[in-house]
Amino acid sequence: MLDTPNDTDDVAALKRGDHAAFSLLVKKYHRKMLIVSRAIVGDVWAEEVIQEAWVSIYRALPRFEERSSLKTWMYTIVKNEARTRLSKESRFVSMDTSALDTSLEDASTVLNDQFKKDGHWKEAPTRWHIESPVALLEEEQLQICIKHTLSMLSADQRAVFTLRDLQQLDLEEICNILEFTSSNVRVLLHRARLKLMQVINHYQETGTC
Amino acid sequence: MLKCRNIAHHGSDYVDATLTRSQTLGYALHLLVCGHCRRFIRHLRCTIAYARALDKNELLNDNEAEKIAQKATNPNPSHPSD
Repeated sequence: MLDTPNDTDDVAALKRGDHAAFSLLVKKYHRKMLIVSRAIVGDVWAEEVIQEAWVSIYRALPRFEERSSLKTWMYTIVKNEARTRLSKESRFVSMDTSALDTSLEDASTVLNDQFKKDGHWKEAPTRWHIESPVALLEEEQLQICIKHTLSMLSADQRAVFTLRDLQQLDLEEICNILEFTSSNVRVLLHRARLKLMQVINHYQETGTC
Repeated sequence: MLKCRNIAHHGSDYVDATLTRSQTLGYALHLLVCGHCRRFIRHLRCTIAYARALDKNELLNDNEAEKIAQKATNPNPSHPSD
C-alpha cells in the first residue's frame, strides 16, 4: 500500500530510481498531467502521451538538475511529448486561437451582464452563509457539483486552472508549458474561477446545484 | 476611480498579485469603499481555496498508480515465450 503523498516529493529517492517513490509520484500527478496533455493534444492521444511522458520522466530523473521544481520539470516533459506527438501525427495546429478568442468574449459577456451601464453592480453579489473553504468541504452535494463543473471546463481552462490553482505554478511557468500568452492565461484562469464561483453562488442561494 | 466592473474583470489579477503597484493601489482604494466588491473578492479567494482543498483527495488509487509506474519503468517487457 502506498503512503498518502505529502506536498513535497522525495527527489533524492526518485533520482536513485526508487520504485515506491516513483509510484507515489504517479499517484500524485497522473491525473493533472493528463489534464495538461488533453489541453495540448486533445482526448485521443492524451493518455498515450502521458504514458510516454512517464517513461521519459523515469529515464531522465537521475539527470534532473533541480534548476526548476520537479513538477515544473515534469510538466515540461509532458509538453514536449505532446508536441512531439502532434508533429508525428502531422496535425499540429498552432495554438487554438479561435477557442481562446471565444473565451475572451465569453468572460467579458458573463461579467458584463452583472453590471449597470455606469459600471456598478446591478445587484449585490450573492451573500454566502458558508464562507470558509473547510466548512464548504462538508457539503457533499456541492463537491459533486464542483467536480462536475471542473470536468465541463474547456481543456484550456482546465489546464490553466489545474496548473495555477491546484499545482500553484507561476503564471510564467504556465505560459511556457502551454505556450499561451500571459493575457490568455489570465483570462482563461479568471473564467474558470468565475464558473466555479457561480456554482457555489447558486448552491449557497438554493442549497442545490 | 475604478468601477466595480473593472474590479470584477481583474479580480484574479488582484488575487494573484499581478497588477502594477499603481493598479493595486487603485484596486485597494475601491475595495475600501465598496462592500459589494469586497464580498466578490472574498468569494473568489474562497473558491480558489475550496477547489485546492477538494483536490487533495483527487489521486489515483494505489493499483492504478502501480500499473502505470510498472509500464513506465519497464516499457518493453520481454514475453515469456521469448
